[in-house]
Amino acid sequence: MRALFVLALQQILGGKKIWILGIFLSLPILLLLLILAASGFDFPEDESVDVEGLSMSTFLYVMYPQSLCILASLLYGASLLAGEIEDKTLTYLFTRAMPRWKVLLGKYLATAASLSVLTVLSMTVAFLICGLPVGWHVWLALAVTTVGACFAFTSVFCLLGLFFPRRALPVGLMYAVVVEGLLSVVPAVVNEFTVSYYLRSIGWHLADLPIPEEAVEELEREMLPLLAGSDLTGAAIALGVITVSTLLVSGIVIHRREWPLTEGV
Amino acid sequence: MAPLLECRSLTKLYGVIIGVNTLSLELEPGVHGLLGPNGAGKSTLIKLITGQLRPTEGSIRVFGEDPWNNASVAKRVGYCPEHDAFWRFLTAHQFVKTLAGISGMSARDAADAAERTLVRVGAKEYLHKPISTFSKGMRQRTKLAQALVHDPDLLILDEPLSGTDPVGRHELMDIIQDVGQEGKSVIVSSHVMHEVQAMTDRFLLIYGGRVLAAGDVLEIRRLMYEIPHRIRIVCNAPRQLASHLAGLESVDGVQIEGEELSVTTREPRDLFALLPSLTAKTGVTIREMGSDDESLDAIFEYLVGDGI
Repeated sequence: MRALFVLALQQILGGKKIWILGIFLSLPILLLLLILAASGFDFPEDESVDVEGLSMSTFLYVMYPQSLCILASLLYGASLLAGEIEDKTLTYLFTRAMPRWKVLLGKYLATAASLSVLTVLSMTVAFLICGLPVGWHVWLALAVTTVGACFAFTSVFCLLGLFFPRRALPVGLMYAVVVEGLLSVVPAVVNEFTVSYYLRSIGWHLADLPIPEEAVEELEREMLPLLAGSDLTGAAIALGVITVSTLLVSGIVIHRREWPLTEGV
Repeated sequence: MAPLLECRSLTKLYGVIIGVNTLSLELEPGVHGLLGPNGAGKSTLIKLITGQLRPTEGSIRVFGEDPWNNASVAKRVGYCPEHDAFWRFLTAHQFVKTLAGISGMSARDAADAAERTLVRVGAKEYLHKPISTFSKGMRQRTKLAQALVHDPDLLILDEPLSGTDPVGRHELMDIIQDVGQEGKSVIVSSHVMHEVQAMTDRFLLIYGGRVLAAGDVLEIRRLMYEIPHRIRIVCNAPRQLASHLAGLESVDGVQIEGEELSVTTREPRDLFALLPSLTAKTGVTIREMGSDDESLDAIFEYLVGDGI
């Protein structure tokens, strides 16, 4: 599986899409620099309770696990196998002595791991530019949710790409906006079927933000059940189940389906 | 020992379109040419052999096993697809090495085997150049190398010579023949008979998803001989030549269109032998001459027309 892993890495690093990923990864950093420049580089001075620090933490969460990870996973996850189908290179992978599930797993692991490393690196740079808002435990919360987001979304988009190989990107984008953007904040059971809901729960519990007591009470009473209502263990298990089950369905699809990649009879 | 390929009433449907139609055959090891015009079902049969497709009905066995999702069969098969697909950002060596690795070789063995195979197919000069810069001929060699790199027992080549220049074509034919001489089996598909004929004398003629004929070159030539040939002759005095040709026993019919004669014959060799003396006797000058019936399509049309 090593060769496949290396191939997936080469596809990420050597393909044309790396430029788009580069823009995605540098966008939050540039945005942050702009914000700081506008505010006269007034960094938060300590790691205790401060509105600025909390704002920065929220900004980084929205930028990374909630946005950039979705876009990066869409860019590479949707074409994980759909790209091979489009380019007709799947023939080479599916006519070798390697089970199809291994092809899927190898490509998935390499893609999700590479995206995780690159996004965590970008997030760390942004975090340092912010002047370590609130503390390192917030960095840990952001890093864990970033990695979780990359693995979960890559799996989801891979499955979507298999069902809609020729329209993987628009369908994935629609899913990102409608399901992960809108439905994940709908106060109904439906939000519990989204990746974002569990990521927010994990992020909230791990970050342990130093918010004043009265604000926490109000948050937990009104906002939290809607935005991040699951406990840490439950959220981690749910995220794992979504990731593994979508990957499993992809595995079943590629195992059972025929792949006539050329039109000719 | 199990035959190389065994099909029993093999049928593959794409909705209402028939790819392969109740095809039954048994191939022994060796080099086989799979011949048929475009749309005959060659590619479908190859995809069934390589396990990319499942039969709708009937069965297919390669080395005695069902090839669908079967790693042990895939390990023994090398496949060179017709379509021009690559990870173009890779070099030829990286491409072949990657696929050798996916076939189960260690990184070192894969690198060595990739280099050795690329040198063998004549790609030594562009071993480390990106595929995106390759000509069609260079890409064909690279595709052949990836099919050979894991030393398969059966090599399946789908139109391997398309797009190659005459020298490259000759070299590729030599390589394919060498593979056969090493005791490996080869199934090479083409719609150009003389190309396949240069590599093997064992043919499988396929048309409309069915095997029309299977056998050696003599049998196929016999079929060709029975086909009425149409020979086109452009000359300065068509009517004069037509009157002489019509009287010949070997000529079935003559048609005149301007300066062009269309002669139908079952004995083209006899006609070609007679023409020089005929033109000398009549003083007719032949400017152009050719046969429209030498294409494979004509043979198939003839066979299908006869209900074979």
